[in-house]
Amino acid sequence: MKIHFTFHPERCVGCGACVMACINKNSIDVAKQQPYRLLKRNEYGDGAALNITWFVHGCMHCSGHPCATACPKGCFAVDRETGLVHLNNTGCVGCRRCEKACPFEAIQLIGRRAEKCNGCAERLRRGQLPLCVQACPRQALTADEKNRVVSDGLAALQEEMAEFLRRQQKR
Amino acid sequence: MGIEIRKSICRICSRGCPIDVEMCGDAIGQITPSNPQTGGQLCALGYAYREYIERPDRIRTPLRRVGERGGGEWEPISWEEAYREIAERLLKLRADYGADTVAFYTGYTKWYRPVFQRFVHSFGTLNYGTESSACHQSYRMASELNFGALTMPDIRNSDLFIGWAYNPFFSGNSQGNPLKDFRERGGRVIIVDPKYTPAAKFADIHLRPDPGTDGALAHFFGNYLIEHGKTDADYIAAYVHGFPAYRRYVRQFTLEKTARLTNIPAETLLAAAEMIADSPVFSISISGAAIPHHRNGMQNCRAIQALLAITGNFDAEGGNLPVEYPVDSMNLKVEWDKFVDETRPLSEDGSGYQNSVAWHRRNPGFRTAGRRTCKPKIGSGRFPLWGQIVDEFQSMDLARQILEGTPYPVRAVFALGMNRRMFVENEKLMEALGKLDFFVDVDIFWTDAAKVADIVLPACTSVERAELVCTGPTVRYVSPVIKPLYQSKSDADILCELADVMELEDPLLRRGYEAVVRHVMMKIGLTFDELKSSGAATKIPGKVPYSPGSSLRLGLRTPTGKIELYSETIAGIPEEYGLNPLPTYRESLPRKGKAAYPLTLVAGSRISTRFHSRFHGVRSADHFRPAPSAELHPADAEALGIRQGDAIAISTTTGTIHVRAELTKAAKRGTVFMFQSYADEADVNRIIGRNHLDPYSGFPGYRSVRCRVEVEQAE
Repeated sequence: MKIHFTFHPERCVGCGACVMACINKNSIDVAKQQPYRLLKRNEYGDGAALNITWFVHGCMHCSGHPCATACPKGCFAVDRETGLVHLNNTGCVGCRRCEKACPFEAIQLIGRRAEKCNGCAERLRRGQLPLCVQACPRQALTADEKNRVVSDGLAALQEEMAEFLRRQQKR
Repeated sequence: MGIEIRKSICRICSRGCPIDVEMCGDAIGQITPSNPQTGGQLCALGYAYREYIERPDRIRTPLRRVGERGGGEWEPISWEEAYREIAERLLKLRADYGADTVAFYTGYTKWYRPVFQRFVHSFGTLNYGTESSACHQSYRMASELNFGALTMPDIRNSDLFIGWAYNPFFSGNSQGNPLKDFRERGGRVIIVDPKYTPAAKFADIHLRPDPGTDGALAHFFGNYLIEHGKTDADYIAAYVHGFPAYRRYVRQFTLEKTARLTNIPAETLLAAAEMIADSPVFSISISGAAIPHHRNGMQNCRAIQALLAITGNFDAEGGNLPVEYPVDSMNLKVEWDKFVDETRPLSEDGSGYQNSVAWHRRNPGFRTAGRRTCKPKIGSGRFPLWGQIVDEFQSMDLARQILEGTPYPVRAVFALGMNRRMFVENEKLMEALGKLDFFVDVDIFWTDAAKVADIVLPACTSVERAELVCTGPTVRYVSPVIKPLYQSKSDADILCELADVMELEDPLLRRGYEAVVRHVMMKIGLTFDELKSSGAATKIPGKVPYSPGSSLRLGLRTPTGKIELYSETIAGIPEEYGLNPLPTYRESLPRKGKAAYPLTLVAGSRISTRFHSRFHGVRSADHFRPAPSAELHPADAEALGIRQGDAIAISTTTGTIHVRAELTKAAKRGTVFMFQSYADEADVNRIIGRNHLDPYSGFPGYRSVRCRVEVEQAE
């Protein structure tokens, strides 16, 4: 089965369980790096018309994988069985082209090498969901084949994400 | 080699969500929810449980203070030595001054409480106090006074659900919530909360009253329903005591007046009132923390519950159903209550819980003959209503009694998990603890209270101990997943072992936790051995489901047996305390001080990635909010010259804290929301006056405090 991640903004309540799961699953030291899932908040309107929405982003293991196309060193590979986009950063030269190419701001440089979510590949092999997906109590983050990244194409979710980031207030 | 999974529960909060603990040899690895295929979930906190268990500031061994109290010098001692010294000191104090000179206190964790309370009773005093002096008990008092029982919304059968300070997304998010399904079935939702929370997304109407004005809002609805003939006259005639007086009282809560008091636009108030009037079957959820945390909090809870009474929505399908039942077969449960009562002493002046109507209806076989007597528990003189209907001392009066020595001196405190940060103006508590002859604190972590103790004992977490877990109609015996880390022990084991060394007149407690568990589950039709070997949550056989209406039919556990909008219990409190039997409204903010302190500080507003002080020191929580921050509306911030992330000072008449500004429109204009339990300079409860308390319950008015905010340093 090919795995892609999908985020459903209308279901997210901003609780942070996905991010907390990611931090602990990957033993991430938050003083030194970002988790592989990130939670952002936008506020629209005010008073009675106030609407607050949250957005979770990170590697969606999307079918377009612009990171792989952008990388001059061939660090990225699409897993034949799961469709997960794997990053082997042994050859990474820190050029940041993948970081710039990714519409989901999923790639970060740690030291001088690119790093990103590995899709909890070992959990998938055991028949378990990626931990961030498992952690969401409201199914706002899903991992399946029939997701929007595939059916609507990358562009739709990418546009939504871009719109969200545009709206991030300069506070 | 396969991966070994062991089953346990998370005990960061009291819900006890089942967890799978992946083992790495003898150490714990990843912690995930049990039974994910059938909907098992954890909240954000649960995914950091391993980090919590492994917090670097865990207390590792029993310690005795060396040198000055609070000086930070300790010597490790054995458990035997610690028990021996504690036993000698407490027994000597009891022999010299009586058992009441020792106050026994427990912080948040609740699982061992019956064991502790029995220990206290066996020691010979009613001076058992908990952090529930500021959580849940005030709401419970309101429910007891009105209905003689706690209630739960029967939302599945409601037309309308009113969530009063209802945010299940930031606490208990793992346990699912009914809002989405309810809405999809056509149910309507009103959320009442000054703050915007995710629950507002599910609301047809989100009312944002000023903090603490809930009673006025409820009375407006009450008056509207009466004026529009939307009450249930037959129900009121049969089951409600004090309706005419209530009706007269709420008449003053007109649209204009309520709009002014609550700071909600009149048209929004009207739309909500119409929706309630248009929904004969409705249920209400009331937060046991947010609503009572005002100086009029207990009465505000009663005022909200009155809406159920006048519309016939208490003890009726789709309304609020009692969760304590009049028939034994419906109440079948592990007998912790009886266990606590077996060694209970009686208050020598005849005051206190065991003399209340509720008590005697609940314990028809309770014998008073042959029991020891003791002094009235701490806080009974200052908060007589609390003293009468809550089976704990009011710990907001503990520091005062230690410092003033009235009505009698308290010379020692034996505490489990005492959190200084829960107390208002808590320098006073520290001053009081410093004056004690003897102070013992048992805790998992090095808290501020533990640092000033004479003897400190290390407790362990849920994965390191055995525990009988009672959840709804099920019981489960959870065995330890790992051995206790360092020299730590289970709180229940500590209490039983100490009881043995002290040779308390309590053979059962001295036999240990397992003997206690076998004793309390004797009548539920399950054996201890089957529970222990399966480790699974097991349904109590023969428990009869509740049928709505039977409590009303058989008579409620209130003095009149009816719903008491006019409380005969309150009417029995001496007049000089000024308590009103009707659910009256008064402003929770102090009358004076608006000019110098124009904003309203709300202390304790939840965030989803911290819980009390338990996640201080858990590094992953810092990702979400790296610095202690107060939430302010951007417009208020702009007027004060404050920008996102600026260092700000929040001042009250009691003191000043220094935090960061987090700008969000989720905060209502004019209010400042601050998470509690941070250390010194960000500890919001420290700047709330020690007398800013609800006279009915003794609860602190955490969530309506006058304050001023100033920018200190731009980010």
